[in-house]
Amino acid sequence: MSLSIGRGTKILSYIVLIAWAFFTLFPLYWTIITSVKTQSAVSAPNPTFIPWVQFEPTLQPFRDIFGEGEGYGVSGMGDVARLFRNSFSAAFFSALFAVVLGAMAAYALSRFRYRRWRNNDIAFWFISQRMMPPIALVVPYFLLFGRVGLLDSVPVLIAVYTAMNLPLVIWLLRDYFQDLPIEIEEASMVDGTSRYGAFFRVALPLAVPGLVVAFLFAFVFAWNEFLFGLTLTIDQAKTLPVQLAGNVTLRGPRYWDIAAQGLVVMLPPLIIALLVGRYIVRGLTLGAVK
Amino acid sequence: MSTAQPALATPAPRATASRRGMDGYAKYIFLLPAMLYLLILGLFPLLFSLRLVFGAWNAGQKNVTWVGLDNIQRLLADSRFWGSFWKTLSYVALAAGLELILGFAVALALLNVTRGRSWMRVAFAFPMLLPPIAVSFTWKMLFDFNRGPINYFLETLGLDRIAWLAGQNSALLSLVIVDLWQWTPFILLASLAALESLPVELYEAATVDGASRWNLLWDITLPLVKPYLVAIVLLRAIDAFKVFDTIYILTGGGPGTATELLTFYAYVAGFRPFNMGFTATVSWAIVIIMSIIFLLFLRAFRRLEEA
Repeated sequence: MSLSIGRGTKILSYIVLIAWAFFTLFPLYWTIITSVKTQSAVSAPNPTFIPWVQFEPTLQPFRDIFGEGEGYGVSGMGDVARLFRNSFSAAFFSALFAVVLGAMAAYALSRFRYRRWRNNDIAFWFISQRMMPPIALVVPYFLLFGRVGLLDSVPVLIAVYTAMNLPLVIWLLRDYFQDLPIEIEEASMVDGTSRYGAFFRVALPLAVPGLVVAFLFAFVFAWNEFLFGLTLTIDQAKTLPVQLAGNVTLRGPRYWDIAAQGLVVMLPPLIIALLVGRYIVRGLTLGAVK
Repeated sequence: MSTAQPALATPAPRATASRRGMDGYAKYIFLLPAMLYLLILGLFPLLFSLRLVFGAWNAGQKNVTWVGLDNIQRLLADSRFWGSFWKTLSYVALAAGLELILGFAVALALLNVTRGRSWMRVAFAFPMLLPPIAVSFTWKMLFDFNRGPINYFLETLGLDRIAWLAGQNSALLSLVIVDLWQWTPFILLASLAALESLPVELYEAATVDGASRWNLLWDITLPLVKPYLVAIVLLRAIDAFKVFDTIYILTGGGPGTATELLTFYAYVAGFRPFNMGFTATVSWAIVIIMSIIFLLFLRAFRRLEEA
């Protein structure tokens, strides 16, 4: 939509946008500068905002959390490599499984017609799974996985996150498959390809951009997840957000360390946002508006 | 389930007989894995926890013991639960309402500019993708009474410092502010997509007829995007209901029980003391409350669509 817009409206719009950009970006900026402050810079009576001018930046907080500085005993992140591996495997494999299962179901919903239940009812059933409050699953998961001795294991996190992300992935991919031209698949099927061949060799390659967006979505949500991580892991399978949350009981705000730890946990989603932000935004809003 | 149904629906009149027979199986082979997966990890655990509503299971106990309606009675008599219920409702209404106003306003502003629109769209989406736990710590620093920049700004402006996270009312408000920061982008970007999909011709015609910009907004834009906005706000409200992470980090439910919203209440009143029967009962109460609100919303939505 583009219409001739009055000067006043345009100026007002820019003021609103600049204010919103400030509101959005200032907390991130504050986290970044706090992560390069010394203890005395953080505890100064007046907060400081500009590095090199108001305070001398240091990488000490990062050395502390990764176990090189003397502050490690209080502020270390523990076994960072293991935490990272846990978080990464849980997010990566759950996203992968959600996309595999989700692509099949989304393809089915966009290509076949079900008569017993109508397609829209099935799609609605899938999305209604996302409405479920996660706390309702915490107790049964805890007891059921506990009974078979699977608490505190990464595979359980993968299984749970796959279920958590599956509805959203189906929703996104259903839109995507619906927009793909059906003719190419049909032509290949007339030539004797099976339905499975049409799916794997024709539809899937065309859907790669959609699959990637859905995968990244699922990855980020699983990476960020906290409640299941908190209740289903103890030590071995602990994820980064759970470790980060452990700081809540620390005495005294060691903000310089907490900011550095927070940034470490924020990094993968931030990188994804910077690299493919445009597509993610489109995927996200498409799902909501359609 | 008969598997050999002809795939009537495949919008392909040219379908051959053999293909139709094949689709009969394929239909289920493609769909069932995801369905079964969600039945096993979604519906089945939920039903299992229904059993716990009428039972007790504490640490060290082997099996669930039957306690009848004890859990339900305890819940209904618990003033902490009802307080939590009302606080959750106000939190959701306040967060979703403010996010709608702010998000839609910023989306309109974004629609008016061309320069910088694409990078702003990405930058504005950042908060949504960040881990709520890390975001909470960021806000804990910002809200800090003595060293936080927010109170410093207030003081510079000649205002009083606010005990953001420690006040009876301000603590809930602080949580709403964090929610606004992280999730207004969802409403902003979704309503921007809705606005961008509106036909330009309508506006051109109306402008020719001499409509003012306010007329355009109130008489054309709003009625057209209203159904989208309702759906977007509904999605947001459902998610706001589940808030947990920010409470865990920022207030721990306090001061007192001022920010003990439903999911957090279920966690501290049931899960932490290992009273699984009671946690299951609170969880089911949350499921029921959410379903009722969801249905009420849907009914209002239908009425809006008909009107």
